Amino acid sequence: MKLERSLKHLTLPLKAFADRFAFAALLASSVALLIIGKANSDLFSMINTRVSDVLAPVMAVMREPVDASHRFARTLGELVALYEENARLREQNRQLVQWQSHAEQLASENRELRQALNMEIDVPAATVIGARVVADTGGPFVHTVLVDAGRRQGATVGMAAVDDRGLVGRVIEVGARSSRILLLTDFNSKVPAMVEPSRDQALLAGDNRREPGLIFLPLNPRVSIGDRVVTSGRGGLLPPGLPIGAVSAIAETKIAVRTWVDFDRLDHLRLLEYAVVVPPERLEEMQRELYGPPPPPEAEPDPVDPLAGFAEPLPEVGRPSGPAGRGGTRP
Amino acid sequence: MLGWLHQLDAQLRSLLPLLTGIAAVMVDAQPLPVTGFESVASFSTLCVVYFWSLYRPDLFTIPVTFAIGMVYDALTGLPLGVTPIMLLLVRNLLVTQQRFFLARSFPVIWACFLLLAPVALMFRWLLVSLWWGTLFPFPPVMIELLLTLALYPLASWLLGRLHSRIPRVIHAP
Repeated sequence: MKLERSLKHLTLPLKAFADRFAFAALLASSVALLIIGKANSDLFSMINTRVSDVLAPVMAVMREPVDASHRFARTLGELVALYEENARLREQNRQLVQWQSHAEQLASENRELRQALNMEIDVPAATVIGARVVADTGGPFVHTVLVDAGRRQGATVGMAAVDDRGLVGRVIEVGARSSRILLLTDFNSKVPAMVEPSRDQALLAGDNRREPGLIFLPLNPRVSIGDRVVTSGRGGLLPPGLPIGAVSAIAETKIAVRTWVDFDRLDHLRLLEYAVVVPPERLEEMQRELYGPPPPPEAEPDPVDPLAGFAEPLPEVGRPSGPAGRGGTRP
Repeated sequence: MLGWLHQLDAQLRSLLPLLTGIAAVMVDAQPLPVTGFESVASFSTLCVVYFWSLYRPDLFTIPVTFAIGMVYDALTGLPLGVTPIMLLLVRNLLVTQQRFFLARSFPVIWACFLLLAPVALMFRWLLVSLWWGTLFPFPPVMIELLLTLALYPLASWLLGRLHSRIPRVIHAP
């Protein structure tokens, strides 16, 4: 007992010192991480994907009761309004059937016109991966969601994420079995877009508010409230024509776009890769994948003695025709 | 044999502060069941750090605080290091003022949380804004703060129940 007490006397100051040291060291390493991360975001990305990979399955399980309660509440609500809902759907169905025949007619006309002009028929997205949102980080700063599909499922950085209403965002980090999607509303998000009736090109830029804005519009843009906004496909990363939303407000400082996607209710997403236009930085990588590593460069003049080639007499004009030609011109 | 099991049990219970911290991070990263708000989330991790720093700083050590902050940043996509800095400062403040908090009633402790949480969240807002070089809109931070303040009594009650299950001193067999 006595020994224990005297040991305690000895270890307490040591422990206090260790605590103080740990506090200073970890605080300093946090600050260092912030500074390093500003310079090199690959490190961040690597740590983030590792942590997300580990926690994504746990979070998917945690989501189950939340989803179940949502479903239950929705079912109750639907039961109450079943009669009215049915009448509304019948009416909507009648209208949609009319629209469908109209759309089919337009599609076939479009196809014929494209054929007449020898234009390429629309190429579908190369890869489609289903993914489920497991974490919606919300919060005041970052607008990203974590989905449960990663490299193993075929996800790659740059893929477009869509749900049944339209574009949600694009994949910015890919782990083994989870990926992070930057939503259109995040202030880091910039998506090439087009206003539909006028075909004015612009960038859709998020600003951490509910409605992203259009920037870099051409001079004298022809934009009015209610105009549809779709992806323009410029830059080759996102497929053209994905629905984004409609112009909701035009002010001096911002042309706001109300997105079709409801960012509060993201659940099942599809990740699309558009493999028609390959950006130059990926071209080399793809060539390597297809044809293996590039062959070693042709034998060059001996790098040790760059003047070695000059020791020989300069060749005459007829050099490409071969040794016979060269011999003929010599005295 | 029984002694060994007892010790394992005690060790596992002493991991509760760390586990509740990580659970809180995952709760914060869950989509909020209440819709209609503009991208809000509570910051229940702060409640957990506040609680354990007051009652069990011996188990809620400095490395544990750092680890929880890192997991938070990695999962939510914040710049790595922001949340560890904030949580470490909060823990340090509470531990150095431990004498003041000894045997205080719940309303006093909650009132102190009401004072501390705004400062902590403002600090984080400033740090993140500096890092990205842009001033983030402030209203979402206010909503996050109000949600967090309202959440503390519930978090404190839940953690209090767990706290009573952690032995004070781990005895050798």
